[in-house]
Amino acid sequence: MKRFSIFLITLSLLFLGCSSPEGGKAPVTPATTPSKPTPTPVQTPAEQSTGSDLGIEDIQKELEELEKMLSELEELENVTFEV
Amino acid sequence: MQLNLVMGMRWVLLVVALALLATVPAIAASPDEKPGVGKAFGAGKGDEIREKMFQERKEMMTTWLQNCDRWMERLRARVEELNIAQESKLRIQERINNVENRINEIKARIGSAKDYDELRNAMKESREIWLGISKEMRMIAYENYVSHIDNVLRKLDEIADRFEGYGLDATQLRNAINEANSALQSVREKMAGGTATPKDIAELNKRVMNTFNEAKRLAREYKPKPSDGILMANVNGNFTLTGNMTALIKGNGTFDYVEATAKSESKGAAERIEALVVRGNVNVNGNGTFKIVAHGNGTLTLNDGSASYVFKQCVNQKFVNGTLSRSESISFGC
Repeated sequence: MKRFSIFLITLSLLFLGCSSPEGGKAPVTPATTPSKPTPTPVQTPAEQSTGSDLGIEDIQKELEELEKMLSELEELENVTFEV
Repeated sequence: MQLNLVMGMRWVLLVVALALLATVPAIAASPDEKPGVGKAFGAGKGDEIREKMFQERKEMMTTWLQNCDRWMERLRARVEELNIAQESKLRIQERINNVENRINEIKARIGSAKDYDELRNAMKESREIWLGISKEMRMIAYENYVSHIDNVLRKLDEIADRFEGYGLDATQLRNAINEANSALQSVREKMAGGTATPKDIAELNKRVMNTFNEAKRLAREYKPKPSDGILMANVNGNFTLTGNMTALIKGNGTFDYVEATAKSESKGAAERIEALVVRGNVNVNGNGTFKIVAHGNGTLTLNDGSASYVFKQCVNQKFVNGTLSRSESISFGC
């Protein structure tokens, strides 16, 4: 009977261990969209001297903006609707 | 006999213990999938996790929707800036409106979800809506992109004229512009068939960046003297260009010219040209439709026809627009 009592205590401990709130699996977290960092185009300083009226800087800004918009679109497209 | 009974009970208990061990973790680990069962063992914990997931996911979707809104607003503004026919612009704006309306539908569904289950249903519906509009969104973005790139390549072509009108060798830049234009044409064809891919756009972007880098390289060599004036004119008619300068003349027509440099002198007469660079003491008479880009000191006289121009008297001054009528002239240089 003594052995039986020891067995019951062990069994109770096992049961408590398994049903403990902190035990088992970690809480399931929602699938999150991996947020890709927006690639920032490398800034190459355009010539500022007499060539500044060529409009090189404006073109550079325009290209950067276009590239940024496309990479942001890619980021938006990475959305997942899983819960 | 008593010993046998005790031994038998031990086996029964062992089997019960093993059965419990197999059952308890399964219940504890899946409160979300089986809420009814989960409640019996830890309903509080399950609800807490679901509430947390609901809040996190809703917040994430709200941020995503805000980003969509901002992106669409920027796209609309960029389309508004496009140098295209008003009709085409309105057509693109209409497509943007449709996409925005669909995004608003997603917003309404996500926004009205009050708990985990409602959000899950809203997300399912939103996924369907998104599948319907994401491709359209991309196609509008590509249309905006290629229109802007077309504009950029035109500007780079004008810059190449400036370089040649200054005397720089712009062959590599011209080649790069041609390659980029070919890639642009290819993307346009694919877009018309709805088959343009991100790879096509990346390839076009690469060509455009090569072109731009070549323009930047030449811009570092473009250093007109302070005493130089700059003239860029479009002539339709008969003109005379005289003075000490470097000039690019391109277009269609006939002309006589004397090109004199310190080392050599050459003369041409009544030739049909597409593009020509003259240097030194220049005296050119042309008849036709031409673009002229000149750096130095000189005078452009319109003998007949019409002309418009942009010019700087001196390099450090600002550009001024103007037009020429018959027998009028414009002088440049300090």
